[in-house]
Amino acid sequence: MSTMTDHRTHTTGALVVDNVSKSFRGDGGLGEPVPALGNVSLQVDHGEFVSLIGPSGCGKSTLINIAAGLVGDYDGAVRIHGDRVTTPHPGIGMVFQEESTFPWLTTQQNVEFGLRMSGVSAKERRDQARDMIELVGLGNAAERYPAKLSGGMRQRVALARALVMEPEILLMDEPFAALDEQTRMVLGEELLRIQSKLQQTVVFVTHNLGEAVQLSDRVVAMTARPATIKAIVEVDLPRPRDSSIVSSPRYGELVAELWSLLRDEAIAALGERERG
Amino acid sequence: MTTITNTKPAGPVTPAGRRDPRAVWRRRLRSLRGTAGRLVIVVALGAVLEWAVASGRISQVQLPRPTDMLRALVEGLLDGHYLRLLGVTLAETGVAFTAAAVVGTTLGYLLWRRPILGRAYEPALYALASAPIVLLYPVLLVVFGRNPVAVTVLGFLAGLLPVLITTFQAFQRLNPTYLKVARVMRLTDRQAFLRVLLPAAMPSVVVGLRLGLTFTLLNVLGMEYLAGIGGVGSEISLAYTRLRSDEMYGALVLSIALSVAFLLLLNRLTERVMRR
Amino acid sequence: MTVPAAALDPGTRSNRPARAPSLSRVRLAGVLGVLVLWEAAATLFARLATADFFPHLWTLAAAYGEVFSSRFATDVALTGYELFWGLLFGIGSGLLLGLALGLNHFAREIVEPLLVYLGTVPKIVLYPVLLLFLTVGVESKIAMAALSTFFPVVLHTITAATEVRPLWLSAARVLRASALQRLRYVYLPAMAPSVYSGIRLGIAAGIIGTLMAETKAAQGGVGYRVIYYYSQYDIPEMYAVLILVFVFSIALASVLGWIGRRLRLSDSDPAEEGALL
Repeated sequence: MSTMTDHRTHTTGALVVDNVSKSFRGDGGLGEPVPALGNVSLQVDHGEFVSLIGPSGCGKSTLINIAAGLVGDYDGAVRIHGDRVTTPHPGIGMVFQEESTFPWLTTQQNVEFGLRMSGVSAKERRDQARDMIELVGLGNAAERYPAKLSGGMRQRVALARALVMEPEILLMDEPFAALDEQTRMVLGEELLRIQSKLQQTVVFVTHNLGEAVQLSDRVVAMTARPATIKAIVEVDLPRPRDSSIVSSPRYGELVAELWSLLRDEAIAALGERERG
Repeated sequence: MTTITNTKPAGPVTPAGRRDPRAVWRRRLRSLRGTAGRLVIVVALGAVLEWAVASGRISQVQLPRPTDMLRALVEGLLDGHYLRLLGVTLAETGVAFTAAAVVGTTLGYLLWRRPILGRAYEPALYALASAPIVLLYPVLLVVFGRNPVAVTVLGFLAGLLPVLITTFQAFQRLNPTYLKVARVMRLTDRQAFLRVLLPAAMPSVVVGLRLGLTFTLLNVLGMEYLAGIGGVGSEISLAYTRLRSDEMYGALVLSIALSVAFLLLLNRLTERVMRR
Repeated sequence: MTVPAAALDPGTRSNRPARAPSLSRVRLAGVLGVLVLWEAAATLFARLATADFFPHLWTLAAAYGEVFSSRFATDVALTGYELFWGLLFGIGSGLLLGLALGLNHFAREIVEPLLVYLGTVPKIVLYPVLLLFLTVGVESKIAMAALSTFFPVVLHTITAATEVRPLWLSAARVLRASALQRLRYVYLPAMAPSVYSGIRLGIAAGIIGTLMAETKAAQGGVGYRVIYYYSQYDIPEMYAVLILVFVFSIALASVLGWIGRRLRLSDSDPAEEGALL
């Protein structure tokens, strides 16, 4: 499977996944180990936008959590700058699916949070956070608390909070899954704009085929549990893209191709869930 | 830069934030109507009792005229006697609650930090919370003697459990995503506790503190009456044995007023903390 | 339940050894610790000679002989009698008023805050009023139990009535449920959990109210027995009765909680259990 990335010119990607496997034990750690991830290898290049897609319940979130350093105990190696990741690497930022903005802080304070923790001066962090808030389009909501923001706005805050730390690699674990379709489309467009500006490396987990095609340079299709890489699809849509891309014929072909790859896996995953 | 204004969902964004002046007026009017209605009920009840006593339908010994109760209350307040009693009750409550708050939050946090202790003793705590703590008052009289210290200790015991249990639960029910954010941002333990765990747990802890203060005051007043020691509660008991029913009712009205004042004050304070 | 790091990392969890035995060991250690501390205190205070408010465990055990050979059964029966009628009146009146207020918006808006205010007052301070109107006999205890029981029941019943969502009623109506059917299949199941926790708390409050009243002025009953031993300075006997009362209260609370869970009536927050004076 790693042969599919061999044609790439540099061999040292921003994020290198080398033969990674992971099993969990059920029943509070007493049950039989259940494999979640089986021998996954992948290389994500600098500035590249890669989506991981697969049936729900497969190991794609496990993989991104390993890359984030949130799961330290696994086989194989995820490498950033050649170092095997076991704790969160300073060069990563992460956006979660669940509510992660701090309700006791305003938008401004939420975005400043990481800078404040690493001892950046008050003035500097105010300016940096301010710029980032503008960039994600929350300029008029800087002094509001999350309770007064919509779900989509809160995810913008979470995105700004991660981006303001200038991470080399941005990990996004189904960040738009809880949002409605229209908000999702617009946020995707915003994300593309921001990424093309900041040139971040992005690893994006989703179960939405269209979202993966709209955003990515490459889409990694994963199998049902234990997750392995089934195929990697190059998205040859022109950049810069916006949401109008969904009406192009190539977009439809790519989505159809992904679905044909994933159909059996999705059915397998469903069957497994109904059995278990 | 594209602006986001068009993506902002119009309706539900700021249900609490936006102030519709008419809605505010309607709410004010309703609360005014409620207060007026309650005032009418209380005054009418007072008038009926006044008439019943004046016409001899209820014996003056069982129930003095409401106007006599008020006179006793006002006299007691003016000659400073009631103020001294209030001072004693408030001092007992204050010391007992402060101790309960400090010990309860600390123990609750430690119980969470040491999961084995939490798991082992959680059921016992819940069981104790349903035990009739106030009935320990004879024990406290034996141990500490017939003085305000015994009352204070009972107030402490009564306030301790709700604070402890809610603190423990507050930490236990923390949004796990916050903990992930703290790890991805590589916060130190100290930063994670002070800047993430504590503020996240705070609203629930405040609810526990509120509950604890209510319990402390209830038990302090109750024991003062039962044992005839300390402040306002004891006056009810003493006036009863002196066969001065006007003074007894005066002190009774005072303790009701004290409880209600505490409730209203706490409502105000927690509203302020919870606003956001 | 776990420290942050472990909570995030299922990997560490998988390597953790089975810990069921160590849990019971921790519990056993806790119980033994309390007993040892108690004995240590008893020994220490016995040396100081003046006080016997920490009786030795065997003295405490022996006290049960004295307690049971007295007319303790009569006291239990009397308290039981007072409680039976008190709970009946308290729960009955609480349910009736709660329903009436819950179903009438206007009345509820005015009266509910009044009940909430009075609910925060320790009901026992109203006991002298009951003594003035009734007598030192069982009537004042029944009234005290009823008064204590009334507040949790009425407040929870009002809440219960507001938990019946209009949408459910519309749905039932569209599905052609008759008024009686709506009562049986919508109102009842929707209100049951909150009403049940009101009754549960009310029973606990009634017990505490009755016992407190008995310690203050009574001619018999379990609370009277506690204060009798106190006034005689029979400390071990006083502890013996109190321990019985605590064990009974906790057991009753667990049984009622278990029944509630069994009937799928949700349980209220354990931290609120103590608001019962």
